[in-house]
Amino acid sequence: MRIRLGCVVAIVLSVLVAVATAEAQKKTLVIGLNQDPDILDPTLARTYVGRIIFEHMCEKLYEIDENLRIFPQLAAELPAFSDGGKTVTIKLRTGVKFNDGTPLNAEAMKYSLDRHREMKGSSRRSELDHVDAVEVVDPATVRLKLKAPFSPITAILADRAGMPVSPTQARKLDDKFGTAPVCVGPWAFAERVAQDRIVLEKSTHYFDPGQAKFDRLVFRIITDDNVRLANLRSGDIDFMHLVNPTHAASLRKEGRFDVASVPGIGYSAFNINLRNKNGKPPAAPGDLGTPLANDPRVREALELSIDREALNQVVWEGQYTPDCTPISPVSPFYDKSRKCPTRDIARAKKLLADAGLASGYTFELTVQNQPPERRVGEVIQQMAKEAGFNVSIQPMEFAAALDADDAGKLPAFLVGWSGRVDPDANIHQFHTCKGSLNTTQSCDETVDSLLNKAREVSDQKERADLYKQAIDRITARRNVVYLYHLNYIAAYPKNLKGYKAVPDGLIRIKGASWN
Amino acid sequence: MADFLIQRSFISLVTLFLITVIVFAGVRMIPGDPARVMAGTEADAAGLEEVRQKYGLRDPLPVQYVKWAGRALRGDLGESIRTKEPVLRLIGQKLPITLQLAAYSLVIALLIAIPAGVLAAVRRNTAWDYLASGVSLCGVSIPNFWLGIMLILLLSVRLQWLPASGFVSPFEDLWGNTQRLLMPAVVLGAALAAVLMRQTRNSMIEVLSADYIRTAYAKGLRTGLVVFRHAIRNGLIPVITIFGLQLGALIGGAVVTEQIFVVPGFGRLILEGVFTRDYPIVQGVVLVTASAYVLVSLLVDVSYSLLNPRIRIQGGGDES
Repeated sequence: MRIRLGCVVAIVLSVLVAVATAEAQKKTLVIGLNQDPDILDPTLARTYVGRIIFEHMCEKLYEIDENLRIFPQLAAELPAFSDGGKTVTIKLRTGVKFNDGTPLNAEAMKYSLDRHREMKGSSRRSELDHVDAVEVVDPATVRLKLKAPFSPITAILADRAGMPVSPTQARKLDDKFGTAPVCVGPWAFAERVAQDRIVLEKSTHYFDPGQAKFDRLVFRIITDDNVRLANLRSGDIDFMHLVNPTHAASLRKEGRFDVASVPGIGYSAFNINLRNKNGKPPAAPGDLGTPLANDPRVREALELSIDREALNQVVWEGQYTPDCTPISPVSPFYDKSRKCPTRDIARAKKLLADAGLASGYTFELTVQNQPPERRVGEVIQQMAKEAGFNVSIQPMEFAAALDADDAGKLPAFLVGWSGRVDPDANIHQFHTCKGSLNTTQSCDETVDSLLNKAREVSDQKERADLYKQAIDRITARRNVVYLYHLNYIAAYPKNLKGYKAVPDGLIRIKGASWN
Repeated sequence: MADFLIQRSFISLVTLFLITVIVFAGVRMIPGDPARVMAGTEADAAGLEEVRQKYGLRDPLPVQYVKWAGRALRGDLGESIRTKEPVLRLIGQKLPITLQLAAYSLVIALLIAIPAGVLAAVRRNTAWDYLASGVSLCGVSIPNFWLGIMLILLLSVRLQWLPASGFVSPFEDLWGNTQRLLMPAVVLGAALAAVLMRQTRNSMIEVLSADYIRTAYAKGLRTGLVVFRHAIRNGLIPVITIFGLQLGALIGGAVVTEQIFVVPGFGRLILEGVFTRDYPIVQGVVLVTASAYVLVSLLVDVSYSLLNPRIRIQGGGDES
């Protein structure tokens, strides 16, 4: 009898323990990331994946929504531009505290912006290069004095440059702030084990505590796509970031997971070197003397040989978004009336013949030495062959390829850009004559003038029109042939509700909860 | 003896110096601008220059080496470029994890290899022998990354018996720790078990044909008694030698295994360090590993010389 009672007690206890463990697990969300972030300091951080952590513990002045519209987050309203666009007044939300309990006020905001602008090794300095001075107007208002009108500033403040850090903690830890960061956020930094996990815990100081539905967020670093997927399927992680397109269809079929896919703000393209003989600007351009660089008909023939839809189907199982511009289709600046050139082998052959290359033309296309990039290169190679091109694929380690591209050693280079919310950062530096990333050394004063003007005006419609005109000229000269926008694909169990995929691809758990 | 010690210590220091020079130069010979990798591919020219200045990448290589070696001699291995954490602390966190994984793998390898090897030798040319040899061949031939993925798919995804990845400290949760290290230890131990099994089999076959074993049988002893009391002791001597030699390979294998099972050990630390050009981490890990090997070799040499004075070296030649 005593033994039987003991058994019953043991069973009841183990059930209670199991229920308690399950409840504790439900209050924790485990997210699988593909990379270990660098330092968790908004001023010094450089990695994309680090921005996912910041989204949950370091909020910013402005935020973007699913349609890439900017809205105030720690600011009380959108910024007011005056003095011909050279003065930007930012009203702060009141009653906001950092996760150490100190207040976020105009002094703290000025401290943070100045830290981003002036700290040694800051990765935000170039982003805030247009800011001449930061002034405190009153405890809830700061004013930015710009060197020249610069409308992309709002989008810049919707990223790490707009994140305030606790002055108390930043003064205490200086350049080690990232080892124990304190910002404003629904969750606060708790622990980091390098190459393994980053743990955040629900903040006790956040102004809208109902938004944090989980007590703990655990970000686990699982670099291999297949292993990350296996961890999702086994339940070891609840949320998988960057699902491989080849896995997306099978996950959907399983029926256990929701698969969110959104066209990203970045793009994939191939650069065609036009005049980079001695390096990118400020080096002087030179004549490369090749038909690909000098004859627009050859470049047009090359573009006409490519079928973007087929490329997407073959390499990415149709999961990405084919396009021929640097602006994502989800952006309010996207030109919906634009028609991308479709494949036309007959015309491509004629153009090559007109250029005196009827017998064919050979050139080298450099690709990153990774299987998916090599596959993209091989598909382009096969498509271009039908038009008379003999494309030689050169796989190269990424950092080495970037160096070679900067130095003007690559006739053509398949490369991508992770993208920014404001189109300026996706176009200006690549296509203006003195642009810092203009590795093709293309130069057109009209393009420069249009892109500079788009920085100065703040009316969205007017800016969209300026970008349309600039892109018309850029796509005609074909120094960059845009191919597609990659989609950010994430997967999670069907009972996770309230998750919204945003085109910057960052995970935002705020507001989401188990059903 | 003093001369011997001085000579051996000097050789050890030269070895250590050469290893650090080779690694220092080697990581800097990886293609691509390290500043670009550190600063991110989207950094502008000013950002790249700042990184070069900050980490002394503009200095000539010998100057960079001397600066680093000077700090290392004072016990300062620097801090991670990516996370700003002290390298010594990172090594202190990661090394015990890999050592624990290696210890589990060794236990698993021995538990598989010795019974299978002995059985194959005793039942030579029978189905048992062919089975053990076949399994051993598989153990050597199957790549550990493939075996790892297959185990995850079977035991974690399909059967849901074990967690697919991760690590918890044994002081925090011993059962959780064992569950998480079981699959990586099996994967890491499989190849070692195969090598040890073959060695055990060959060695035992040789011992079982020795005169004293035949005498034992002639005395009427049962097979079990002959094998376990008389044969196994001598049969395992060469196995122990091989076992020691395989330890280095085990640490090397941990790099891949830790990556598959997301074990935050020494292997992942060095791999991430190489991929992200986090020079202080790569140099620190190599220095600590090389120092450990050199120190163990030195201790072995010294202990040999104490046990057997004939192998002491004097004037550059063997006394014997």
